[in-house]
Amino acid sequence: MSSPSKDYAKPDEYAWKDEAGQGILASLFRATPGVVSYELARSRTPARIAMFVLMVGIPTALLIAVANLTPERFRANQQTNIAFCVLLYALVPQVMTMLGMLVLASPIVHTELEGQTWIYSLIRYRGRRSLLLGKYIVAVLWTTTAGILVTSLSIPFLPLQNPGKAWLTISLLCVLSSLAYGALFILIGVVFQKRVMVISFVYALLAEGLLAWIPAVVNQFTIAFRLRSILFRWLDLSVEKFFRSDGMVSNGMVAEDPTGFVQIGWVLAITALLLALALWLVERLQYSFQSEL
Amino acid sequence: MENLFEFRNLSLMYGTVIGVNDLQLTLPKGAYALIGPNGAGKSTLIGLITGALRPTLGSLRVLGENPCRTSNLQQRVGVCPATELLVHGVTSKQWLVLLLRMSGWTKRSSVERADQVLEEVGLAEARNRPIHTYSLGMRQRCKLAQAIAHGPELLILDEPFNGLDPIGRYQMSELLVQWAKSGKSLLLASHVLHEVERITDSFMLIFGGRLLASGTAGELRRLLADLPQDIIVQSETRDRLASLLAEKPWIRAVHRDSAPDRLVLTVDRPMELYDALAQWASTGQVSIQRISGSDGDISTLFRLLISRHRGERAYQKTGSPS
Repeated sequence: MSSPSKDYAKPDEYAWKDEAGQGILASLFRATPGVVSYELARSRTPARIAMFVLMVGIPTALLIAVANLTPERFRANQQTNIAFCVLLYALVPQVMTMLGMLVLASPIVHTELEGQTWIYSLIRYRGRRSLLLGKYIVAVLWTTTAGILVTSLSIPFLPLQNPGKAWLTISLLCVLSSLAYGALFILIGVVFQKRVMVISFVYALLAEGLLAWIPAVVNQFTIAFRLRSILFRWLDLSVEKFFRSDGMVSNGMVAEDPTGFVQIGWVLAITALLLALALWLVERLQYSFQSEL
Repeated sequence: MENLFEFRNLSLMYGTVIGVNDLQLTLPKGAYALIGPNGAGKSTLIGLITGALRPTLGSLRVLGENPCRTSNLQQRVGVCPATELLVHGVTSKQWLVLLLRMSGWTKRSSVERADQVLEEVGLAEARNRPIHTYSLGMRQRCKLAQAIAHGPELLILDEPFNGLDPIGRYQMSELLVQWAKSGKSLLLASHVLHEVERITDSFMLIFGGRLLASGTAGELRRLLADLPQDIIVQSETRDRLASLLAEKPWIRAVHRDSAPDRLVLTVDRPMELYDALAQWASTGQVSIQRISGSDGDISTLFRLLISRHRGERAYQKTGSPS
């Protein structure tokens, strides 16, 4: 180590006030890109790339295989169009994106605690919030990219009546799904310190997998309900034909929103609410990391 | 003037386990060593000081601010934790830039400062090597770099000498001596006394979450003189001295040593012994060749304080009294 005295004698040169004497939002906007670029650089590992390839490869292969198995006489059928639109939606923005965010977003705090690095963000100005937000953005980027790639690779092989519109809708749903599920799983990860993945998975299964399909008011509290409504409205899918009942809209299977824009607003509002709650809690909760210090 | 620490009945419980027990202390700015064995509560106290933990009872202020309520304090404090640095796949420079940016620094300033501080801690040549390839000593220096990078007023180090070889220990000591000389505050937690005695003269002795004693080395030595301890007296009139001492209420045990002219005394109030010996020697009742007490260092005091805290006898190794 070199002699440090000359540097310690002039602390004002690098005093924090010059750099960080700013409001919460300003400091977050300054700190978060740092976390994003660090995490992106760090995530280019063979394991992460392999996971990405699997995330993209499995649903793409599955979709193309199902399309190839569809008899030629059914390919121009309107019912087939609905079925493939729903299959694409179910596999990509619903299952793949949700599970991707579950794996990437829910253990953010837990991983830091386990890796004994939580202390370093804890003792930084807005460290916990910028870490959470930065890692959330990286998780959204990875998952959205994977979702859009699957959609782009598989749509040319699917018997869809309007592939362009389907690509646009599913891609938008990938973005919305990543944002909302990411915020949800981050909140779960902030609140629970142990078995985060299990809790997130059980929640996803019960609420987003089961509750979202119950035609009652309760399903309106799920993200899946909002995403499904956007799918049906934007792709002009016949709710009656898919559910084989004309009472499904009034029963609450799909939202009564002719444009779908209200549902986009809902998804963004849910995302903002969950994310704000997670960011608020992460500064206030005390984590058991005694061995950290 | 703003104090460094103000602890008011500060307590922290982990369920039914006491982490920190009723600390009551005000310290001005300066360099302090927090001494205690493993599990004494040093890390818990550091957790409270940094705002990572919240007190169950009582309150504290660090540099005039409540660490639980303000995040501004984080800009004024640098912490080097005791735990191993387990960061994979990133270089020390990348890591430091991240932490500086998390402190609100711009990208350009962060890069410049990271280079500068890595040079200060002697990692300039290894700055672009992944941290997981570093030796333990290099990782320790990397941890120190992140603690001082943002120019804090108070530097807190938890067991900074862990894993360092003798040269590394010396370099770390030098660096901390320079830090203390620069007028900035320092809190150094360690369980090895002799390592910190070179860096600071002010100590806080902690055990079982309780503050056993605090003060300068001189103050603590005076305290040592008032605590029960063993004293060896070399005297040609050993038997007469033993009979005189046996009547005194502050003598706990008198033990004849294997050497023909030595007595080992276990004394409750050493100052009274010294007064009595001086009086007897001056009146010619006894002759005293040599008095050697406990070695007078802080570690002896610490051992004695812990013994008292545990309710043990003052000194166990004297053998049975005769």
